[in-house]
Amino acid sequence: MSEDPVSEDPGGPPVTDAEEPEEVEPDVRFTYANERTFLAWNRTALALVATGVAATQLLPEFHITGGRRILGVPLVALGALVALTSYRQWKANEQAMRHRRPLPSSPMTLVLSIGIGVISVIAVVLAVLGSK
Amino acid sequence: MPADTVPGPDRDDGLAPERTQLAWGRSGLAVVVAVGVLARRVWTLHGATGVVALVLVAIGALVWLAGMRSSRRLELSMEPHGMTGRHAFGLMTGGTLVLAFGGLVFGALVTG
Repeated sequence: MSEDPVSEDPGGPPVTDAEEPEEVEPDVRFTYANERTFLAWNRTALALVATGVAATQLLPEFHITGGRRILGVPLVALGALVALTSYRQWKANEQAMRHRRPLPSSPMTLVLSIGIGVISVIAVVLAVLGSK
Repeated sequence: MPADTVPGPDRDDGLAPERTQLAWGRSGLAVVVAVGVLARRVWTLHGATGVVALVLVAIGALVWLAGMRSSRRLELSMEPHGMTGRHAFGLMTGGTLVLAFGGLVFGALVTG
């Protein structure tokens, strides 16, 4: 008595994984996670804006002309960029989950890291050369 | 199919709603701080005005807290679609952009 493994599967593609364009309501825990991710990025944006404003408004003047502006304005601009892209990313993630597509990747982690790195270098230069 | 993947009244969301609510709370605090820093530019704080400003910030935080509590109650009684209505995301983004615009204007005006 031998079992024939071929007879178990009559062939053809599996029933699942068919590409269906219709929307499905994603698992609410993923919706929550996407929401928290948006909020974390948005807080990062708020922190960048607040830090930039504090740099231009609350720091004492540097020797270097426009020093506070050089430090603060990029921070605020980066904050605005992060705020905008975080909303777009949240929406893209939501759409991807609804259509069962893989989540889209975002260059923003790299952009944020490089941005903060560059601004840190500016801050160090200002602190060493420009403080009164 | 495990019970927690079944949509419907028997679904268990675990701690996801709580974590999300805490995230909104942190965002509220971030908004209060960012607005406070911007307000500092147009409103120099001395003596009584400083106290008034602190009270206003505290009231803002309390209002946010109350809003979170009511939205939580709403969440518990409704079909889940995340913690808040979809408009909240646009509102947060728009508000942050307004703050950033204010920051850029103030930054452009500053000398030195």
